[in-house]
Amino acid sequence: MKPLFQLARSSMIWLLVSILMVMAPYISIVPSWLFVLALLAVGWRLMVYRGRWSFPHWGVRVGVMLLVLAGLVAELRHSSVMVVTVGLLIAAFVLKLTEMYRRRDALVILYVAFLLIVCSFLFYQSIPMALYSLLSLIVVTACLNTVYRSQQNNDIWRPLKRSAVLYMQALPMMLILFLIFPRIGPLWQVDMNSGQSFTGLSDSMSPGDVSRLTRSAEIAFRARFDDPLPPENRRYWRGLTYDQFDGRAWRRSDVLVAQSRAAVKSKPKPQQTVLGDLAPNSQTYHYQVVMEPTGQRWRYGLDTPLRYPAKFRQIEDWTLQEAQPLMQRTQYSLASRIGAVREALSTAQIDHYLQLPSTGNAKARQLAQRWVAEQSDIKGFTAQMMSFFARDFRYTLEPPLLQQNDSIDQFLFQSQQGFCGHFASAGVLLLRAAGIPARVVGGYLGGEMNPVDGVLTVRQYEAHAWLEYWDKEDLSWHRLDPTSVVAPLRLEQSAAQLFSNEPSFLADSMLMRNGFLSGAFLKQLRQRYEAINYDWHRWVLNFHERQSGLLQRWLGDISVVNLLLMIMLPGALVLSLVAVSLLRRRGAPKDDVMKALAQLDRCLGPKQQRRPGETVGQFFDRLSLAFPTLTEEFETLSRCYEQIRYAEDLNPELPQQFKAIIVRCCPLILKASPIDAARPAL
Amino acid sequence: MRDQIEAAIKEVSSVLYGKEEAIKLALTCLLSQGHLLIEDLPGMGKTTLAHALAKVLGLDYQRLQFTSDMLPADILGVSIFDPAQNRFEFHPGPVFTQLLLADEVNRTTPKTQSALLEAMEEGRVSLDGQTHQLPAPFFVIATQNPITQQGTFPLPESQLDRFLMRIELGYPDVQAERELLKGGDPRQRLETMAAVISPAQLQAISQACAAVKVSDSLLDYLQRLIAHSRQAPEFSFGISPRGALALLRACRSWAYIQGRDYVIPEDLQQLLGPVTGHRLRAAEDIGLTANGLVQQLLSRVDVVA
Repeated sequence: MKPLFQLARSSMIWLLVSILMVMAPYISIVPSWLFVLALLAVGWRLMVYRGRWSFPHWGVRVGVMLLVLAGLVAELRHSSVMVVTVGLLIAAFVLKLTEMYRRRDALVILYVAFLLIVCSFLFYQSIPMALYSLLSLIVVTACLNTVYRSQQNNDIWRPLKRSAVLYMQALPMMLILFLIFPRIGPLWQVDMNSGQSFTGLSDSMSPGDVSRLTRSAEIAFRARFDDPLPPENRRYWRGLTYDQFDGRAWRRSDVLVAQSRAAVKSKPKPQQTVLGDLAPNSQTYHYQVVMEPTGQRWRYGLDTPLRYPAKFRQIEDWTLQEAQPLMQRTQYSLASRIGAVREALSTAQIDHYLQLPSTGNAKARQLAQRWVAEQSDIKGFTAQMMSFFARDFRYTLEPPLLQQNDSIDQFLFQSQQGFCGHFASAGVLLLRAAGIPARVVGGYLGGEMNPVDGVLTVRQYEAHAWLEYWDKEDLSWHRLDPTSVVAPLRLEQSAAQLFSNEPSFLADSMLMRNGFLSGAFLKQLRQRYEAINYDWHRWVLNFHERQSGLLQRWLGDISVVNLLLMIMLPGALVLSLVAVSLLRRRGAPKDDVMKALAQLDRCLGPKQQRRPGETVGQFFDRLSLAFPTLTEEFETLSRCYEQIRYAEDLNPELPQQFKAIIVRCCPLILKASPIDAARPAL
Repeated sequence: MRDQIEAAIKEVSSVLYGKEEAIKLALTCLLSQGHLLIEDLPGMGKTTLAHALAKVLGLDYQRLQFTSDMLPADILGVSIFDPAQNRFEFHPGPVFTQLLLADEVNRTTPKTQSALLEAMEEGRVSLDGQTHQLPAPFFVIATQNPITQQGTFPLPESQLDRFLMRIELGYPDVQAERELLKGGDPRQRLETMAAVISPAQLQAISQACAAVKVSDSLLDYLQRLIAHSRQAPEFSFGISPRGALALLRACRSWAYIQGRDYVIPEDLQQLLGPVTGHRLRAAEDIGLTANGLVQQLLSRVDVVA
């Protein structure tokens, strides 16, 4: 019978604690039946440990594994591949418990535990999660420690302490690596968010979408300004524009996205050209944005971004696009101007921005025609439209439902209540019907200033829609926000204040609605937490952007050679220190005899050198066999050494003689080819 | 005096063929005033060796066969009431001799074992409040069967420590075996063997052995060995100071027998196994015998520095 490896009791306890700790973060990610499986496996292993049950039969194990595989494959239908893969890892992890026969098996479990700790960062990257992972690491390492100890050693807390001390000691190294080690891009990437949904704007808008967003207090993005902030009523964050109307919803056409403003940038002085086209005396704002994942390609920027990272491109409507959908929180720097944008439109573009369905909303079109007749210019038209909105309309987050056809007619002449989306789409329809190019803009208005760190936080409930029209007289796009006349407070106050009486506002997050915002102290606490969180994202999660600057400052130029030197020089320094200390330990003060013996060793080469456990007498006997011509010398040497070292003969000639013989022998040894001492002498 | 030692070795070799090494070790042990434990299978010549040594050294010799029902009194002796004189008369047991062959010492109960081992350590026997001095010199050559055999009570470490050396005899080589088979049972010769060394000479030789020189270089090496045995993970515990002293004592005698008046590392390497093999224990799960452990120790520690 093969002896069963039995873990020490403390080891077993830590192993089970490790498993539960490592699995806990996955509780809302992987299917819950995996946790039932985990509890069963843990229970079974405990019973085995207590000697009540035996390990499950291999047939049972194979059966369970097949069931788990089938379950995970079924799970593929409503989870991403990533989740299922992690689920598979967890299943294997807990099932390994039921076949833990040897120390090696326990080690496998612990190594997978380390892997699972790392994997949890695929799903969470917050500060509490990082702290929790550190705790898990300490516990798993403590368990690793106990596995290597003898069974009698049952101290439970000592390993934990030791492991914590280990991590404390590793901390400086970790910081150094964090600061200087370059982040190498992944070799392959898994689209882990397929199936995951984001809160935020989408590339089509039917009036009603924004009301859905006001239920959410999730953060859309954060911005930190280098200069003073723009006034509250000018914080229009543009995300995307909607240029096509199908009678029901506004869409962003592919044509719009396809055309990049690269042409503008390629002009000799692109920045100046653009600046010159803008309205004069508008200030430039420099700021950094930390944007939450949206699963979309557009990036938010204040009004008209002028300077943006090279990986972005500016499309025709002046909004920013990136090649890949945003799946992770990202950070970028922008410079924007607020104000009208001067731009000549081609006839095709003008037609594009006048597009309307051929039929529908007849009353609205009539209204527009009447205003055109009444007013001489575009300014007069927009003024009349705004006063129309201001006179009869009411702003609410819970407007009555509109019917599918002629919804804008219904809004303009019957219900006359709604929110930004309604006003913007109705406004654009009226403008287009009057022959004025216009488009709906989706984005955010406002943002809450955190006094702790001066960061502006923009939440989903601040989503907003407004419109832009093109004035052929000054060849400029102008912003027009009908909401500003219907509910002027929306521009002056934060959305939270304005909406706080609306029953549907933040309906999905009661905590925000009732608790967080009410108490001043709690508000302060929340602001402080968000300030820390912002720094965490800026300095830890997105450190690599900062880091390249750091490296550049240190090295002048990031080349492979420099990076290698950077890594190798400290390594070489540490290794040489170790080498020196090792050599020093070996090198006790050497007398002539020792030196002579070392010289002999050197000319003998590694194969014939004296081995540690070999006495000098045995050494010379062996050499006599290997170099038969020098037998006599070796015998003398052996005798000499014995006399000097062990008989303590103080005759001063002996060391001299010893040295002289070795000096004489060395060249001869170098010339001679040794007879293999391993072969028995005949 | 060395001639006498060589003569003694030759004499013993004439009854125990091809075991010169073991004979020298046994003699070394006796010259170092230590007790000897021979561990081997039955019929390997343990008793013959002990008997021959006693004869050659001219010592009183008693053989005691240990059995599982033996009592301490069977070894030490007993006080019997003498009605004629109206008092107790002490009848000394077999332990009152110069050389005691304790055969199969691990077959008796721990109680009886410890009675013998106490006598070995103290050199005297205390019974009924009276102390009886044992003769000098007093040697014990104990034999034991390998502890894997049935019906044995293994000696605990503390009692094994009382023996200076533990040696094994092993099978004779082919030539020796042939000689043995041709010559008939050599034990008949035992009766006629004459003493080669007188007790007085033995005393003198012992003193000469103690005067053998031990250099600093050798002590350095010994200390490195000790330190390694105490630190290395494969040892459950290392060589004790008593073990180190015993090793040095045995080395001196061994060097003397080899005809040197100083100890060299080879002596230490030769004796490390017999002297410390029964005092060391490997850590768990190593799978090394005492001998393997000692060899590993020797191969890991540098002789020179």
